[in-house]
Amino acid sequence: MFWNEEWTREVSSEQVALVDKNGTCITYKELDEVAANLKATGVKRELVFMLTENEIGCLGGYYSVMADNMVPLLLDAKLDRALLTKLIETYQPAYLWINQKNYQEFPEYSSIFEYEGFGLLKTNFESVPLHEDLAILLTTSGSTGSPKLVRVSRQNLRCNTNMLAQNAKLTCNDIGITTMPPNYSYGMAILNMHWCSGARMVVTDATVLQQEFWDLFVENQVTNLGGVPYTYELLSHYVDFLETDYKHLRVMTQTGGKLSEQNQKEFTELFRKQGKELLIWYGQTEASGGLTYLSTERGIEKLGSIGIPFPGVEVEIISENPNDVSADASGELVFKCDSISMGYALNKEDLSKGDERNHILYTGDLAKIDNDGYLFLLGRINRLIKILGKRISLDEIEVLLKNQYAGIECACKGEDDLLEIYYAGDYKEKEITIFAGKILGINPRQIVSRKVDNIPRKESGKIDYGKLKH
Amino acid sequence: MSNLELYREIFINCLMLEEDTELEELSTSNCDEWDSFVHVEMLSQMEKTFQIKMTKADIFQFSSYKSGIEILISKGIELD
Repeated sequence: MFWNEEWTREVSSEQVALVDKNGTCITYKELDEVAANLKATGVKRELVFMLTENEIGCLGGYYSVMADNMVPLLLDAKLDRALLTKLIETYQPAYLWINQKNYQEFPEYSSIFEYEGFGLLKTNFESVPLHEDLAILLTTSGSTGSPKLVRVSRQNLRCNTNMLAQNAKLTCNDIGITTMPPNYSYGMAILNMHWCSGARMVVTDATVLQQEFWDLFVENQVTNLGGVPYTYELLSHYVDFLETDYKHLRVMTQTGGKLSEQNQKEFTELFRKQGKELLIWYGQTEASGGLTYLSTERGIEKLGSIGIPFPGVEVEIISENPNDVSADASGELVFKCDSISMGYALNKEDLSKGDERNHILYTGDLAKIDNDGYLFLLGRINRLIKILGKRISLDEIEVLLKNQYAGIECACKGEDDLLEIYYAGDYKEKEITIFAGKILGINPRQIVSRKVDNIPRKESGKIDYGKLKH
Repeated sequence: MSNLELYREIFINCLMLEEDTELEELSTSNCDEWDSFVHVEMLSQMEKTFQIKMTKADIFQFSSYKSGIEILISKGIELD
Protein backbone atom coordinates (compact mmCIF):
# COMPACT_ATOMS: atom_id res chain seq x y z
CA MET A 1 0.00 0.00 0.00
CA PHE A 2 1.04 3.57 -0.70
CA TRP A 3 2.33 4.69 2.70
CA ASN A 4 4.19 1.44 3.34
CA GLU A 5 5.56 1.05 -0.16
CA GLU A 6 6.81 4.57 -0.54
CA TRP A 7 8.37 4.87 2.87
CA THR A 8 9.67 2.22 5.20
CA ARG A 9 8.36 3.25 8.54
CA GLU A 10 10.54 1.82 11.21
CA VAL A 11 7.84 1.83 13.81
CA SER A 12 5.53 -0.62 15.40
CA SER A 13 2.12 -0.66 13.76
CA GLU A 14 0.71 0.02 17.22
CA GLN A 15 2.10 3.55 16.92
CA VAL A 16 -0.64 6.19 17.04
CA ALA A 17 -1.14 8.09 13.77
CA LEU A 18 -4.06 10.37 14.69
CA VAL A 19 -5.48 11.67 17.95
CA ASP A 20 -8.26 14.18 18.57
CA LYS A 21 -9.75 16.25 21.41
CA ASN A 22 -11.99 13.41 22.53
CA GLY A 23 -8.89 11.30 23.09
CA THR A 24 -9.71 9.04 20.15
CA CYS A 25 -6.42 7.43 19.09
CA ILE A 26 -6.07 5.73 15.71
CA THR A 27 -2.99 3.58 15.18
CA TYR A 28 -1.22 2.98 11.87
CA LYS A 29 -2.47 -0.60 12.05
CA GLU A 30 -6.04 0.65 12.29
CA LEU A 31 -5.55 3.06 9.39
CA ASP A 32 -4.12 0.24 7.29
CA GLU A 33 -7.21 -1.82 8.19
CA VAL A 34 -9.51 1.02 7.11
CA ALA A 35 -7.65 1.14 3.80
CA ALA A 36 -7.96 -2.65 3.43
CA ASN A 37 -11.69 -2.51 4.21
CA LEU A 38 -12.16 0.25 1.67
CA LYS A 39 -10.30 -1.82 -0.92
CA ALA A 40 -12.48 -4.82 -0.09
CA THR A 41 -15.61 -2.94 -1.20
CA GLY A 42 -14.27 -3.31 -4.73
CA VAL A 43 -13.33 0.35 -5.30
CA LYS A 44 -11.07 0.86 -8.28
CA ARG A 45 -8.34 3.35 -9.10
CA GLU A 46 -10.65 6.29 -9.75
CA LEU A 47 -10.91 10.00 -9.06
CA VAL A 48 -12.23 10.95 -5.59
CA PHE A 49 -13.29 14.48 -4.62
CA MET A 50 -12.66 14.83 -0.89
CA LEU A 51 -14.45 17.64 0.97
CA THR A 52 -11.94 18.05 3.72
CA GLU A 53 -12.05 19.13 7.34
CA ASN A 54 -9.65 18.53 10.19
CA GLU A 55 -11.53 15.51 11.53
CA ILE A 56 -10.22 12.00 12.09
CA GLY A 57 -12.82 10.54 9.73
CA CYS A 58 -11.74 12.84 6.93
CA LEU A 59 -7.99 12.39 7.37
CA GLY A 60 -8.36 8.62 7.79
CA GLY A 61 -10.25 8.68 4.50
CA TYR A 62 -7.41 10.56 2.81
CA TYR A 63 -4.90 8.04 4.18
CA SER A 64 -6.99 5.14 2.87
CA VAL A 65 -7.68 6.62 -0.55
CA MET A 66 -3.94 7.16 -1.06
CA ALA A 67 -3.12 3.72 0.33
CA ASP A 68 -5.53 2.15 -2.14
CA ASN A 69 -3.96 3.99 -5.06
CA MET A 70 -7.06 6.03 -5.82
CA VAL A 71 -6.54 9.65 -6.96
CA PRO A 72 -7.90 12.33 -4.63
CA LEU A 73 -8.57 16.03 -5.12
CA LEU A 74 -8.69 17.73 -1.72
CA LEU A 75 -11.24 20.53 -1.54
CA ASP A 76 -12.47 22.83 1.20
CA ALA A 77 -15.62 21.36 2.76
CA LYS A 78 -17.09 24.87 2.67
CA LEU A 79 -16.40 25.39 -1.03
CA ASP A 80 -19.20 27.38 -2.65
CA ARG A 81 -21.70 24.81 -3.93
CA ALA A 82 -22.11 26.38 -7.38
CA LEU A 83 -18.34 26.16 -7.85
CA LEU A 84 -18.29 22.60 -6.52
CA THR A 85 -21.03 21.55 -8.93
CA LYS A 86 -19.05 23.04 -11.81
CA LEU A 87 -15.91 21.17 -10.74
CA ILE A 88 -17.84 17.91 -10.44
CA GLU A 89 -19.28 18.40 -13.94
CA THR A 90 -15.82 19.15 -15.35
CA TYR A 91 -13.98 16.20 -13.82
CA GLN A 92 -16.81 13.72 -13.25
CA PRO A 93 -15.25 12.00 -10.22
CA ALA A 94 -16.32 8.42 -9.57
CA TYR A 95 -16.52 9.09 -5.83
CA LEU A 96 -17.01 11.81 -3.24
CA TRP A 97 -15.60 11.54 0.29
CA ILE A 98 -17.75 13.73 2.53
CA ASN A 99 -19.00 14.32 6.03
CA GLN A 100 -22.14 12.23 6.57
CA LYS A 101 -23.87 15.44 7.67
CA ASN A 102 -23.74 16.51 4.03
CA TYR A 103 -25.20 13.35 2.49
CA GLN A 104 -28.53 15.07 1.86
CA GLU A 105 -26.85 17.41 -0.61
CA PHE A 106 -26.22 14.46 -2.91
CA PRO A 107 -29.38 12.33 -2.75
CA GLU A 108 -28.68 10.82 -6.17
CA TYR A 109 -25.42 9.19 -5.01
CA SER A 110 -25.21 6.18 -2.71
CA SER A 111 -22.82 5.53 0.16
CA ILE A 112 -20.63 2.44 -0.25
CA PHE A 113 -18.18 2.87 2.65
CA GLU A 114 -18.16 4.74 5.94
CA TYR A 115 -15.58 5.68 8.55
CA GLU A 116 -15.83 7.89 11.65
CA GLY A 117 -18.63 10.16 10.45
CA PHE A 118 -17.45 10.34 6.84
CA GLY A 119 -18.45 8.31 3.83
CA LEU A 120 -17.60 7.45 0.25
CA LEU A 121 -20.41 8.21 -2.18
CA LYS A 122 -20.50 6.56 -5.58
CA THR A 123 -21.50 9.01 -8.29
CA ASN A 124 -23.18 8.09 -11.57
CA PHE A 125 -20.30 9.13 -13.81
CA GLU A 126 -18.49 6.80 -16.17
CA SER A 127 -14.91 5.97 -15.30
CA VAL A 128 -12.31 8.58 -16.34
CA PRO A 129 -8.93 7.28 -17.61
CA LEU A 130 -6.08 8.23 -15.23
CA HIS A 131 -2.38 8.20 -16.09
CA GLU A 132 -0.59 5.41 -14.25
CA ASP A 133 1.84 7.79 -12.48
CA LEU A 134 -0.85 10.19 -11.23
CA ALA A 135 -1.13 10.15 -7.41
CA ILE A 136 -3.04 13.28 -6.42
CA LEU A 137 -4.47 16.50 -7.84
CA LEU A 138 -3.87 19.87 -6.18
CA THR A 139 -5.88 23.06 -6.70
CA THR A 140 -4.02 26.06 -8.10
CA SER A 141 -6.05 28.84 -6.58
CA GLY A 142 -7.44 28.55 -3.10
CA SER A 143 -11.19 28.38 -3.15
CA THR A 144 -12.17 29.98 -6.44
CA GLY A 145 -13.13 26.53 -7.69
CA SER A 146 -10.84 26.97 -10.68
CA PRO A 147 -10.78 23.84 -12.82
CA LYS A 148 -7.02 24.27 -13.28
CA LEU A 149 -5.39 21.51 -11.24
CA VAL A 150 -1.82 20.38 -10.70
CA ARG A 151 -1.10 16.75 -11.60
CA VAL A 152 1.23 15.25 -9.00
CA SER A 153 2.86 11.84 -9.48
CA ARG A 154 3.85 9.33 -6.83
CA GLN A 155 7.50 10.17 -7.45
CA ASN A 156 6.75 13.91 -7.01
CA LEU A 157 4.95 13.33 -3.76
CA ARG A 158 7.55 10.96 -2.35
CA CYS A 159 10.38 13.34 -3.25
CA ASN A 160 8.68 16.38 -1.72
CA THR A 161 7.58 14.58 1.41
CA ASN A 162 11.07 13.22 2.02
CA MET A 163 12.66 16.64 1.54
CA LEU A 164 10.36 18.27 4.07
CA ALA A 165 10.49 15.45 6.61
CA GLN A 166 14.30 15.32 6.46
CA ASN A 167 14.62 19.08 6.71
CA ALA A 168 12.45 19.09 9.83
CA LYS A 169 14.30 15.95 11.06
CA LEU A 170 11.02 14.20 11.78
CA THR A 171 11.08 10.81 13.47
CA CYS A 172 8.42 8.47 14.81
CA ASN A 173 8.74 10.31 18.13
CA ASP A 174 7.44 13.54 16.68
CA ILE A 175 3.96 14.89 17.25
CA GLY A 176 2.37 17.47 14.98
CA ILE A 177 -0.92 19.37 15.17
CA THR A 178 -3.24 20.59 12.43
CA THR A 179 -2.97 24.36 11.95
CA MET A 180 -4.49 24.69 8.50
CA PRO A 181 -7.05 22.96 6.31
CA PRO A 182 -5.95 19.70 4.66
CA ASN A 183 -6.84 21.11 1.23
CA TYR A 184 -3.99 23.64 1.46
CA SER A 185 -0.97 21.94 -0.08
CA TYR A 186 0.96 22.85 3.09
CA GLY A 187 -1.73 21.23 5.24
CA MET A 188 -1.53 18.08 3.14
CA ALA A 189 2.29 18.12 3.18
CA ILE A 190 2.31 18.26 6.99
CA LEU A 191 0.12 15.15 7.15
CA ASN A 192 2.24 13.35 4.57
CA MET A 193 5.53 14.10 6.28
CA HIS A 194 4.22 12.83 9.61
CA TRP A 195 2.79 9.66 8.12
CA CYS A 196 5.95 8.89 6.18
CA SER A 197 7.93 9.24 9.43
CA GLY A 198 5.52 7.13 11.47
CA ALA A 199 4.81 10.22 13.59
CA ARG A 200 1.59 11.31 15.25
CA MET A 201 -0.81 14.11 14.29
CA VAL A 202 -3.16 15.83 16.71
CA VAL A 203 -6.33 16.65 14.78
CA THR A 204 -8.26 19.81 15.68
CA ASP A 205 -10.25 22.51 13.97
CA ALA A 206 -9.49 24.96 16.80
CA THR A 207 -7.39 27.98 15.87
CA VAL A 208 -4.37 29.28 17.77
CA LEU A 209 -6.67 31.87 19.34
CA GLN A 210 -8.68 29.22 21.15
CA GLN A 211 -7.81 27.76 24.52
CA GLU A 212 -8.69 24.30 23.18
CA PHE A 213 -5.78 24.46 20.74
CA TRP A 214 -3.24 25.18 23.47
CA ASP A 215 -4.72 22.56 25.81
CA LEU A 216 -4.22 19.96 23.08
CA PHE A 217 -0.79 21.38 22.26
CA VAL A 218 0.43 20.91 25.85
CA GLU A 219 -1.47 17.69 26.69
CA ASN A 220 -0.08 15.95 23.63
CA GLN A 221 3.41 17.43 24.00
CA VAL A 222 3.40 18.60 20.40
CA THR A 223 6.93 18.79 18.94
CA ASN A 224 6.35 20.73 15.75
CA LEU A 225 4.09 23.45 14.49
CA GLY A 226 3.52 24.77 10.98
CA GLY A 227 2.15 28.18 10.11
CA VAL A 228 1.55 30.75 7.42
CA PRO A 229 2.79 34.32 8.07
CA TYR A 230 -0.51 35.26 9.69
CA THR A 231 -0.13 32.43 12.22
CA TYR A 232 3.20 33.95 13.30
CA GLU A 233 1.57 37.36 13.52
CA LEU A 234 -1.10 35.94 15.83
CA LEU A 235 1.41 34.04 17.96
CA SER A 236 3.50 37.18 18.33
CA HIS A 237 0.73 39.66 19.16
CA TYR A 238 -2.23 37.86 20.62
CA VAL A 239 -0.95 34.77 22.39
CA ASP A 240 1.66 34.40 25.13
CA PHE A 241 3.68 32.29 22.75
CA LEU A 242 6.94 34.21 22.79
CA GLU A 243 6.85 34.47 26.58
CA THR A 244 6.41 30.74 27.10
CA ASP A 245 9.15 28.18 26.62
CA TYR A 246 7.31 25.06 25.53
CA LYS A 247 9.99 22.45 26.23
CA HIS A 248 8.29 19.83 24.07
CA LEU A 249 8.29 22.06 20.98
CA ARG A 250 11.29 21.31 18.81
CA VAL A 251 10.69 22.92 15.43
CA MET A 252 8.38 25.38 13.67
CA THR A 253 7.97 25.54 9.92
CA GLN A 254 6.61 28.36 7.80
CA THR A 255 5.33 28.64 4.23
CA GLY A 256 2.50 30.43 2.42
CA GLY A 257 4.08 33.79 1.68
CA LYS A 258 6.67 36.07 3.16
CA LEU A 259 7.03 36.20 6.92
CA SER A 260 7.38 39.80 8.14
CA GLU A 261 10.98 40.61 8.95
CA GLN A 262 9.98 41.55 12.48
CA ASN A 263 8.36 38.16 13.10
CA GLN A 264 11.26 36.37 11.48
CA LYS A 265 13.71 38.21 13.68
CA GLU A 266 11.87 37.71 16.97
CA PHE A 267 11.13 34.02 16.39
CA THR A 268 14.66 33.28 15.18
CA GLU A 269 16.31 35.06 18.12
CA LEU A 270 14.04 33.40 20.64
CA PHE A 271 14.39 29.94 19.12
CA ARG A 272 18.17 30.22 19.08
CA LYS A 273 18.09 30.91 22.81
CA GLN A 274 15.63 28.12 23.48
CA GLY A 275 17.46 25.64 21.25
CA LYS A 276 14.50 25.29 18.89
CA GLU A 277 14.39 25.52 15.14
CA LEU A 278 12.53 27.84 12.80
CA LEU A 279 12.50 26.58 9.22
CA ILE A 280 11.28 29.00 6.58
CA TRP A 281 10.17 27.14 3.48
CA TYR A 282 9.50 28.48 0.03
CA GLY A 283 7.53 26.34 -2.35
CA GLN A 284 5.10 26.14 -5.21
CA THR A 285 2.04 23.97 -5.66
CA GLU A 286 3.48 23.06 -9.07
CA ALA A 287 6.47 21.59 -7.22
CA SER A 288 4.16 19.55 -4.93
CA GLY A 289 5.37 21.76 -2.06
CA GLY A 290 8.70 23.03 -0.71
CA LEU A 291 11.78 23.89 -2.77
CA THR A 292 14.07 25.99 -0.57
CA TYR A 293 14.64 26.52 3.14
CA LEU A 294 16.20 29.03 5.49
CA SER A 295 17.58 27.60 8.73
CA THR A 296 17.53 29.18 12.18
CA GLU A 297 21.32 29.35 12.07
CA ARG A 298 21.38 31.71 9.08
CA GLY A 299 18.00 33.32 9.82
CA ILE A 300 19.32 36.66 11.07
CA GLU A 301 22.27 36.97 8.72
CA LYS A 302 20.03 36.22 5.73
CA LEU A 303 16.92 38.02 6.94
CA GLY A 304 14.25 38.17 4.25
CA SER A 305 15.84 35.41 2.16
CA ILE A 306 13.94 32.31 1.07
CA GLY A 307 17.14 30.38 1.77
CA ILE A 308 18.87 27.72 -0.29
CA PRO A 309 17.47 24.76 -2.25
CA PHE A 310 16.76 21.50 -0.45
CA PRO A 311 19.33 18.79 -1.22
CA GLY A 312 18.43 17.39 -4.64
CA VAL A 313 16.92 20.64 -5.91
CA GLU A 314 18.77 22.55 -8.62
CA VAL A 315 18.14 26.26 -9.03
CA GLU A 316 18.82 28.68 -11.84
CA ILE A 317 18.01 32.33 -12.30
CA ILE A 318 17.06 33.05 -15.87
CA SER A 319 17.94 36.68 -16.44
CA GLU A 320 15.43 38.95 -18.14
CA ASN A 321 18.33 40.43 -20.00
CA PRO A 322 20.50 37.63 -21.42
CA ASN A 323 23.45 40.00 -21.85
CA ASP A 324 23.54 40.74 -18.15
CA VAL A 325 26.02 38.28 -16.70
CA SER A 326 26.78 40.14 -13.46
CA ALA A 327 26.86 38.01 -10.34
CA ASP A 328 23.77 39.48 -8.71
CA ALA A 329 21.63 39.63 -11.82
CA SER A 330 17.96 39.19 -11.16
CA GLY A 331 15.63 37.02 -13.16
CA GLU A 332 13.02 34.33 -13.04
CA LEU A 333 13.52 31.59 -10.49
CA VAL A 334 13.68 28.19 -12.19
CA PHE A 335 13.95 24.84 -10.42
CA LYS A 336 14.79 21.31 -11.48
CA CYS A 337 13.82 18.54 -9.11
CA ASP A 338 12.00 15.19 -8.91
CA SER A 339 9.17 16.88 -7.02
CA ILE A 340 8.21 19.14 -9.94
CA SER A 341 4.72 18.03 -10.94
CA MET A 342 3.77 16.51 -14.28
CA GLY A 343 1.76 19.53 -15.42
CA TYR A 344 -1.74 20.99 -15.24
CA ALA A 345 -5.14 19.56 -15.95
CA LEU A 346 -7.97 21.72 -17.22
CA ASN A 347 -10.46 18.94 -17.87
CA LYS A 348 -10.95 15.23 -17.31
CA GLU A 349 -9.22 14.28 -20.57
CA ASP A 350 -5.98 15.82 -19.25
CA LEU A 351 -5.88 13.26 -16.44
CA SER A 352 -4.52 10.65 -18.82
CA LYS A 353 -1.53 12.84 -19.71
CA GLY A 354 1.97 11.98 -18.52
CA ASP A 355 4.86 14.23 -17.54
CA GLU A 356 4.96 17.46 -19.56
CA ARG A 357 7.48 19.38 -17.51
CA ASN A 358 10.51 17.14 -17.43
CA HIS A 359 10.98 18.09 -13.76
CA ILE A 360 11.61 21.75 -14.60
CA LEU A 361 9.51 24.58 -13.17
CA TYR A 362 9.46 28.24 -14.17
CA THR A 363 8.05 29.74 -10.97
CA GLY A 364 6.97 33.17 -12.17
CA ASP A 365 8.86 34.63 -9.20
CA LEU A 366 11.64 37.16 -9.73
CA ALA A 367 14.69 36.59 -7.55
CA LYS A 368 18.38 37.23 -7.11
CA ILE A 369 21.03 35.06 -5.55
CA ASP A 370 23.81 36.26 -3.25
CA ASN A 371 27.42 35.10 -3.11
CA ASP A 372 26.59 32.42 -0.55
CA GLY A 373 23.86 30.99 -2.76
CA TYR A 374 20.95 32.45 -0.76
CA LEU A 375 17.90 33.42 -2.77
CA PHE A 376 15.93 36.64 -2.34
CA LEU A 377 12.52 37.18 -3.90
CA LEU A 378 12.03 40.49 -5.69
CA GLY A 379 8.51 40.20 -7.05
CA ARG A 380 6.27 38.20 -9.29
CA ILE A 381 5.96 37.87 -13.01
CA ASN A 382 2.59 36.16 -12.79
CA ARG A 383 -0.45 37.66 -11.14
CA LEU A 384 -0.87 35.72 -7.92
CA ILE A 385 -1.24 37.01 -4.39
CA LYS A 386 -1.58 35.20 -1.10
CA ILE A 387 -4.22 36.07 1.46
CA LEU A 388 -3.56 34.45 4.82
CA GLY A 389 -1.51 31.89 2.94
CA LYS A 390 -4.26 31.12 0.44
CA ARG A 391 -3.12 31.47 -3.14
CA ILE A 392 -5.37 33.68 -5.24
CA SER A 393 -5.13 34.36 -8.95
CA LEU A 394 -5.99 37.96 -9.79
CA ASP A 395 -6.94 37.05 -13.35
CA GLU A 396 -9.41 34.49 -12.07
CA ILE A 397 -11.14 36.97 -9.79
CA GLU A 398 -11.63 39.26 -12.79
CA VAL A 399 -13.33 36.40 -14.64
CA LEU A 400 -15.50 35.52 -11.65
CA LEU A 401 -16.64 39.13 -11.28
CA LYS A 402 -17.43 39.42 -15.00
CA ASN A 403 -19.51 36.24 -14.82
CA GLN A 404 -21.43 37.49 -11.81
CA TYR A 405 -22.04 41.13 -12.79
CA ALA A 406 -23.35 41.79 -16.27
CA GLY A 407 -21.51 44.52 -18.14
CA ILE A 408 -18.92 45.11 -15.43
CA GLU A 409 -15.40 46.11 -16.37
CA CYS A 410 -12.90 45.23 -13.70
CA ALA A 411 -9.23 45.00 -12.85
CA CYS A 412 -7.71 43.38 -9.77
CA LYS A 413 -4.34 44.00 -8.24
CA GLY A 414 -2.96 43.65 -4.76
CA GLU A 415 -0.23 42.42 -2.54
CA ASP A 416 -0.09 39.66 0.03
CA ASP A 417 -3.03 39.98 2.43
CA LEU A 418 -4.73 42.79 0.48
CA LEU A 419 -6.84 42.43 -2.64
CA GLU A 420 -7.75 45.58 -4.59
CA ILE A 421 -10.69 45.47 -6.98
CA TYR A 422 -11.31 48.35 -9.40
CA TYR A 423 -14.45 48.29 -11.45
CA ALA A 424 -16.63 50.34 -13.74
CA GLY A 425 -20.30 49.49 -13.60
CA ASP A 426 -23.49 50.29 -11.75
CA TYR A 427 -22.83 48.21 -8.65
CA LYS A 428 -22.18 49.11 -5.01
CA GLU A 429 -18.66 48.78 -3.63
CA LYS A 430 -19.91 46.86 -0.61
CA GLU A 431 -21.77 44.39 -2.80
CA ILE A 432 -18.62 43.67 -4.83
CA THR A 433 -16.52 43.29 -1.69
CA ILE A 434 -18.93 40.89 -0.05
CA PHE A 435 -19.32 38.80 -3.19
CA ALA A 436 -15.54 38.55 -3.65
CA GLY A 437 -15.09 37.69 0.03
CA LYS A 438 -17.66 34.92 -0.12
CA ILE A 439 -16.47 33.40 -3.36
CA LEU A 440 -12.80 33.50 -2.31
CA GLY A 441 -13.48 32.43 1.26
CA ILE A 442 -11.64 35.43 2.68
CA ASN A 443 -12.68 38.20 5.01
CA PRO A 444 -14.04 41.32 3.28
CA ARG A 445 -11.68 43.41 5.37
CA GLN A 446 -8.86 42.13 3.22
CA ILE A 447 -10.55 43.45 0.12
CA VAL A 448 -10.77 47.05 -1.08
CA SER A 449 -13.29 47.70 -3.86
CA ARG A 450 -13.19 50.99 -5.76
CA LYS A 451 -15.70 52.18 -8.30
CA VAL A 452 -13.96 54.08 -11.12
CA ASP A 453 -15.22 55.84 -14.23
CA ASN A 454 -13.25 53.57 -16.49
CA ILE A 455 -10.48 51.02 -16.32
CA PRO A 456 -7.21 52.51 -17.64
CA ARG A 457 -5.84 50.67 -20.65
CA LYS A 458 -2.62 50.73 -22.60
CA GLU A 459 -2.53 51.35 -26.34
CA SER A 460 -2.50 47.62 -26.86
CA GLY A 461 -5.87 47.46 -25.10
CA LYS A 462 -4.38 45.63 -22.11
CA ILE A 463 -5.29 46.86 -18.65
CA ASP A 464 -2.74 49.36 -17.31
CA TYR A 465 -2.49 48.09 -13.74
CA GLY A 466 0.16 50.67 -12.84
CA LYS A 467 -2.39 53.47 -13.22
CA LEU A 468 -4.88 51.99 -10.75
CA LYS A 469 -4.67 53.62 -7.36
CA HIS A 470 -7.06 53.75 -4.45
CA MET B 1 -27.64 52.84 18.91
CA SER B 2 -27.55 51.03 22.25
CA ASN B 3 -24.41 49.21 23.37
CA LEU B 4 -26.06 45.88 22.71
CA GLU B 5 -26.96 46.97 19.18
CA LEU B 6 -23.38 48.14 18.62
CA TYR B 7 -22.11 44.78 19.83
CA ARG B 8 -24.55 42.97 17.56
CA GLU B 9 -23.47 45.12 14.63
CA ILE B 10 -19.84 43.97 15.04
CA PHE B 11 -20.92 40.35 14.63
CA ILE B 12 -23.16 41.06 11.66
CA ASN B 13 -20.42 43.00 9.84
CA CYS B 14 -17.43 40.80 10.62
CA LEU B 15 -19.18 37.51 9.97
CA MET B 16 -21.11 38.82 6.94
CA LEU B 17 -24.46 37.78 8.41
CA GLU B 18 -27.97 38.88 7.49
CA GLU B 19 -29.27 41.78 9.62
CA ASP B 20 -31.89 39.66 11.40
CA THR B 21 -29.69 36.65 12.23
CA GLU B 22 -30.32 35.05 15.62
CA LEU B 23 -26.99 35.45 17.45
CA GLU B 24 -27.73 34.28 21.00
CA GLU B 25 -26.34 30.74 20.50
CA LEU B 26 -23.57 31.65 18.03
CA SER B 27 -20.11 30.30 18.91
CA THR B 28 -16.82 29.25 17.32
CA SER B 29 -18.07 25.68 17.21
CA ASN B 30 -21.20 26.37 15.16
CA CYS B 31 -19.98 29.19 12.92
CA ASP B 32 -17.62 28.27 10.07
CA GLU B 33 -16.88 31.89 9.22
CA TRP B 34 -15.47 32.55 12.70
CA ASP B 35 -11.80 32.00 11.93
CA SER B 36 -8.77 33.55 13.60
CA PHE B 37 -8.82 36.57 11.31
CA VAL B 38 -12.45 37.38 12.15
CA HIS B 39 -11.70 36.69 15.82
CA VAL B 40 -9.01 39.38 15.93
CA GLU B 41 -11.14 41.74 13.87
CA MET B 42 -14.13 41.46 16.22
CA LEU B 43 -11.97 41.99 19.30
CA SER B 44 -10.28 45.06 17.86
CA GLN B 45 -13.66 46.53 16.88
CA MET B 46 -14.93 45.93 20.41
CA GLU B 47 -11.86 47.75 21.70
CA LYS B 48 -12.53 50.71 19.43
CA THR B 49 -16.29 50.84 19.86
CA PHE B 50 -16.31 50.57 23.65
CA GLN B 51 -12.94 52.22 24.37
CA ILE B 52 -11.62 49.21 26.25
CA LYS B 53 -8.45 47.13 26.17
CA MET B 54 -8.57 43.38 25.67
CA THR B 55 -6.14 41.14 27.54
CA LYS B 56 -4.75 37.84 26.32
CA ALA B 57 -7.14 36.05 28.68
CA ASP B 58 -10.06 37.84 26.99
CA ILE B 59 -8.83 36.67 23.59
CA PHE B 60 -9.15 33.05 24.72
CA GLN B 61 -12.36 33.57 26.67
CA PHE B 62 -14.06 35.10 23.65
CA SER B 63 -15.54 32.06 21.95
CA SER B 64 -19.25 32.85 21.58
CA TYR B 65 -21.71 35.71 21.34
CA LYS B 66 -22.52 35.23 25.02
CA SER B 67 -18.92 35.12 26.22
CA GLY B 68 -18.25 38.40 24.42
CA ILE B 69 -21.07 39.97 26.42
CA GLU B 70 -19.54 38.64 29.64
CA ILE B 71 -16.20 40.20 28.72
CA LEU B 72 -17.83 43.57 28.08
CA ILE B 73 -19.77 43.44 31.35
CA SER B 74 -16.57 42.56 33.24
CA LYS B 75 -15.06 45.74 31.82
CA GLY B 76 -17.94 47.86 33.07
CA ILE B 77 -19.76 48.25 29.78
CA GLU B 78 -23.48 48.39 30.37
CA LEU B 79 -25.50 46.25 28.02
CA ASP B 80 -29.22 46.79 28.21
